[in-house]
Order: sequence, then C-alpha cells, then structure tokens
Amino acid sequence: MKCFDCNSSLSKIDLLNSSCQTCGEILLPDDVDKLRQFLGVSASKPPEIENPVIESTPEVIPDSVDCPNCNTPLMGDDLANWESGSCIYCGEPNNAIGSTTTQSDDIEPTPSHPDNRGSIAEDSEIRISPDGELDFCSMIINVGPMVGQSIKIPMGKPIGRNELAKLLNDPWYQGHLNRVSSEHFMVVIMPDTVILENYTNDKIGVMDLGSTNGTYILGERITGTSATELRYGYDLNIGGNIQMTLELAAGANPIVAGFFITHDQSGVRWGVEGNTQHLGRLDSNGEMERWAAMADLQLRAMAKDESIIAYISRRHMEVILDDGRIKVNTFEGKEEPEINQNTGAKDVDPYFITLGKNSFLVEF
Amino acid sequence: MPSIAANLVKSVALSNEPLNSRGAITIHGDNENELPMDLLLVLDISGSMSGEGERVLLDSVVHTLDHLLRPTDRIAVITFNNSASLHSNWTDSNGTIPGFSTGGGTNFGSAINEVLTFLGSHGRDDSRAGIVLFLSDGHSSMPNEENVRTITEFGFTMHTIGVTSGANPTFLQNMADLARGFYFDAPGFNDVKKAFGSIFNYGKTVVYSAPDLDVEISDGVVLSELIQTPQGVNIHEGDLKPGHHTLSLTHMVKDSRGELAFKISADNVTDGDNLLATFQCLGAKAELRVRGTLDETELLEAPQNIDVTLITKTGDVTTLLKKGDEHTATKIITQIKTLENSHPGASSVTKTLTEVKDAKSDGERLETLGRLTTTKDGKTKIRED
Repeated sequence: MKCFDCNSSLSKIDLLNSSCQTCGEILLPDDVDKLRQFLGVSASKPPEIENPVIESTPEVIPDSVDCPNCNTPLMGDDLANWESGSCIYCGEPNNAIGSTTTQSDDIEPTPSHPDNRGSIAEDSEIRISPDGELDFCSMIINVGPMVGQSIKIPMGKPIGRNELAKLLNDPWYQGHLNRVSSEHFMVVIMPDTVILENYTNDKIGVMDLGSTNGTYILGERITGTSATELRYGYDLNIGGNIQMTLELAAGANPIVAGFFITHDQSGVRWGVEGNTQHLGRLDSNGEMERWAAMADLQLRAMAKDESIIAYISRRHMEVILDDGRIKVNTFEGKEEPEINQNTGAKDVDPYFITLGKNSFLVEF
Repeated sequence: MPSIAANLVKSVALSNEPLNSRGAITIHGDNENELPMDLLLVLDISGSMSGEGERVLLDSVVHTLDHLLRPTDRIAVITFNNSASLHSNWTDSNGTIPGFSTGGGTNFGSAINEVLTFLGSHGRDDSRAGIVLFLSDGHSSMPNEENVRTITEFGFTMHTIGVTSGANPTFLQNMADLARGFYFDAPGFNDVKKAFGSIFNYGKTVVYSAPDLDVEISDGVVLSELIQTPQGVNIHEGDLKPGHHTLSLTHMVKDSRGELAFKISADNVTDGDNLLATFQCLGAKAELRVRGTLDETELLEAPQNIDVTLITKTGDVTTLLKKGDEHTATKIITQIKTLENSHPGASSVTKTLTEVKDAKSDGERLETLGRLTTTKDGKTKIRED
C-alpha cells in the first residue's frame, strides 16, 4: 500500500502514527483501516467501559429483628420462635404478633398511594425557616422514569425509602427503593459553611446513617459520622439503585450552577459548577466521568442501549460557558460535535450539541 | 479572552523514533466589533489605463467614497506608472480625490516602495483594519518579495485586481499571497467596480487586523508548509527551524476562526511528554505537545483528530487549486468525502471546496478562495458579499 502523496510504501510505523513517516501525509480513517488489513493488524475495538452494577433483584438478607428486651438479633429459628410467641433468649413475649414486624432493613414495602405524598413534594421553593435553618435541597433524580426531574430533599432529617417514595411518584421506583434503608442518609449544610443572618454560601453535605446498602458520592461509599461534600455534577447514589445530583444548593444566597447539561439519550441532567464541563467518558485520572456513569446506569436501568456512550471518546471535548455563550473545544473526539442554538441569543435559548449517537442539551 | 489551540493529527507517537506528521492551529477571537477600515488604493495610471480605464478608475473611487465608506473609514490613494507617488492622503467620505492623468509604463516595485514609505510614515494601528487594494492592467517585473511581505507588518493585507487580459495574473496573485490577500480577476473594466465592492465588503467584517503569530520551536523540530486555511494563504516559505519566529496572519473576520495547517518533523520523540512548539496569538498561548509511548496498542487505539485532518486537507486542496492542479485537488476532496458520515464538518468542507474547484475561470476561483471562511464552530463556507 502506497502513500497518497509521496507514493512510498506504508509500513506499521506509518499506521501507528496515522501518517506517512516519509512525507507526513495524514492517513484518513478509511486508509488506516485498509492499511491495518494490508498489514494484518487486528481491527480496533470500541473502548470498554466499566459498568456500575444495578441489580433488579436485591441481595436477600436474612430477616431479623432485635428483641426489644435483650436486643439480641433474632434470625432463622430464633426469629420463628419470636414470631410464634417470645424471645428464645430472655423470654420476652412478642406483643405484636400478627403485625408486619419482620421486614428486613432493605425490603420494606414502599407506600404506593399517591395520596400518601406529604408536604415534601408540594414544596416548590427552597425556604429558610425563621431560625435560619435551611429546609430543603433541590436535587435532580437521575434514574428511572422521572430522570431529569427535580425533587426537594428535606435538610437535616433522616431520609429513607418512605421519604423517597413520596418524592418519586412512579410505580417503577417501588421495586427499586427496596435497597434503601428506612433511615438511609441525611442532607446537611457542611459545618464550615458561612451563614450570615439569612445569607449563606452553602456547601451541601451528605451523611450515611448506617444504611445496609450504602450511600455513594462519586462512586465512593461514604461512611462515618461526618458529612461528605456534594457538589454540582457529583452523583449521589442511594443503595445502588437510586441516583441523583445537586440542582440548587439551598439558601437565600445559593451557589448557582453555571449551566445545566442533559444527556438526551439517557435523560440524565446535571449542573456544572464554574464554566467548564468535560464531555468525554474518562476524567484526567482515567476514571469514568460521573455524568457518563449516571447515564450508563440510567440507560441500563431503562433497558436502553448503553453502548452509545462508547461513541464518545475518552477525552472528547469540553463545553465552556463564555460570556453567556457556549463554546466547545474538541480534544480527541473521532466525531466533531455540531452545535445549534435556536436564536443565538445570549443567556436565553438552550444549545444542542450533537455528537453522532449522543446529544446534549445545554441550558442556562 | 481569545483562545488558541495547537494539535497534531495524533497526540501520541512512537518513542525513540523520528516523527513526521501534520498539525493545525485554531484561533478563536473574542472581539465581535468590526474595525474601522483604512483603504489604501494603489492604482495603475500607465498609458494603457487611459480612456475607459481612467474613467472606470475614477468611477470606482467615487463609488467607494459615496457609497461604500462608513463614517469612521478612511481612504488614501497612491498612483503609479514608471514611478509612484502619493496621490491623496487619508481622507474620510467627506473628502475629495483629484482626477487621474494617465501615461507611461508600469513599475510594481516603485508602487510597493511608495506603499511602504506611506505606511511607515503613519505606523501600525491595530484598532483599524488596513487594506491595500492594488490594481493594474499591465505587466511589470515582480517586485521584491520581502518588500511585499513587509506590508503585513503594518497590519495591512493587500488584495490585487488584474484588469483586462493585459494584466499579469501570476505576479498579482503572488503579490496578494505574500501580503496575505487575494487576487481578483476583472476581465473587463466594468468588473473593477464589482471587485472594489467585494474587497470593501470583506474589509468591513474585519475584527482583528493582520494579527501576529509568535512561534517558538523546540530543538530538533522543524515546521513547514504553514498554510492559513481555508483560503490557502501561505504564511511562510520554507522551513521554520528551532527558535523564535514572528509571522503575520491575514485579517480575522467576524464570526470566524483562524486556522493554520502545518507539517512538522521531529528528530526524535522521547518517552513521555514532548514539547514541540508554542504558539501565541492575540495574547493567547498554546503548546504543541506529543506524548511518546512504546505501547503499540495504545498508539493504534489513539484517536485521530479529525479537525486537524480537515484543516490540513483543506490547505492541501486550496494550495493545489491556486497552482492549477485540479486533478490532485479532486482526489483529495474525494478522500475527505469519506469523512462525511462520521464527521459533520466534512460536508461543509467538501461542498465549498467543490464549488471553488468548479469555478468558471481561474480568476473566479481565486476570488472565491479569498471568500472562504471557517465559522467558529468549524464549518467552512463561502462568505457572502
């Protein structure tokens, strides 16, 4: 096979550099494929991505209940004895025979009646109570049929499957909230947040409350009694199946995201802190970008084709908010994004970035 | 802030080996305000321009004053035959320009010298878009190339108009290239006014006046064939060797991005990070780096930068079309077409390059090349006048 420009014979080193090493002529992708075939070099494979785990059937954990008198965990035959009358260890009678006392922590049924929704979902604004405490934090649910929608998480209160069931008003979630403990996590204001009268520079934190299936931020399980900071674009995963991200830090003077991006195919939406968002699959440490991890989980949860994310290069491009307009820098993307805006007006209309099988909506 | 990026077609290369590759620089300005224009007319008043030519010249100048100049624009006139002189100093649309008297031969060299003397007496002003419009219907020896190139150092670019078949399109094209401008073919005197309009409309869209590109090349690295695309303006003849170089680019027009294609060779790529060159333009800086690796699988899987590919191929095609090599240009356009399915920007490139290639005459082709531009999102198009 000869070089298009200088007619010299192409070799493996030309293939490796995608250019003729005699004259520098670029080998176009089709030429590269032909040269691979000519030289007997195996065809390239799409990059593999590490998929997070979503389990449609939760791990079965033995039912147990603590004896209210001696606090002994009662399981198996001990539990059967308790259910039939009393604790085998201390003789404490079971006064609640006939009621549902044997639910394990992570399979408690979810309230299914919409009417049961309390005041949580009805509150649409972040409020500040008279003593300056912040009541709600606005989050974006990024899994299931409600993907991309806002929910209001009460601040400073234990949140578990009952609270989430009131917020996630779709039957799909009933089967997926069973990995959420009854008191699973709590959203708080970080201790070092500056609060001046009614004005705050909020830093939102999340604490795990000893849940069975864990609370994850950026894919890392959070533990201990101190809160872990949750920032824009960070994915908060509750128990493995429920993922969300910060929409608006609570407070009268909140930190506002620079802009929001929605991955159209998955519906996953997230806020961008500052003015730049990398839209490649991997971050600078080679770890999966969190938006890609969220999109992947959602696509698989909804039985959609998750492989489309592999069409985005590891370090494909970055979106930059510049004076009210969106710019895109492409790094190593095999495909150049196409950017469209309805009117081109600053700060008004969303931008659409199309990239082969993927597209993104950028909103201010 | 303006931004600049420099990339190779592949950002990784085989370690402990020399490298021959292609790369591209892209420049995004942040100024959206058109600059006021300084239009310097350099007009041939040799004997062959007498009669109809003289009338058309006057008509074109009057048309420019009355209909084209904006309140903030200025115009000056240098006339030349065997020698050159300043005919009219800077004036705005309220000023008048005396009539012309024709006669004598044609001396491009003296005209260029007079241009340099005139521009030198006023100095460079980056807040204005400087445009020289050089018009001739005759033959002359080629002026000193370095002198022509020096025009850009005053922030001016020079466009040339060849009138009637008596003009020397080769020299005029060459002069336009050297001064980062474009050649306009005016087969008849009536085409002159159209060329004036086209050049003026271009000048009205300038947002950066012939910006400098500072290049620092690392040891063992050579850059060559530096072409500003999509117009195919040759920015430097020969090799750029290690050290510092300052190059003048052509004007940047509104809503466009600057693009330069280049060839690069490095004596040796070391394992890990290699700094090949740094580029500075409009206060922004970019480093051209390549990462050396011995991992062949990584090299094979490293993606090709298609933007770089399109910029360099566009530079190849436009350079070939200027040389009249339509055959090879067509082959490259066909090559680029293979990218259309996977790369949306390729369609606009092949469409516009095909339009240029299919121009009815050499003059129209060169004029269309001069009107090529790349939008900020990387699409190539022909600028509407």
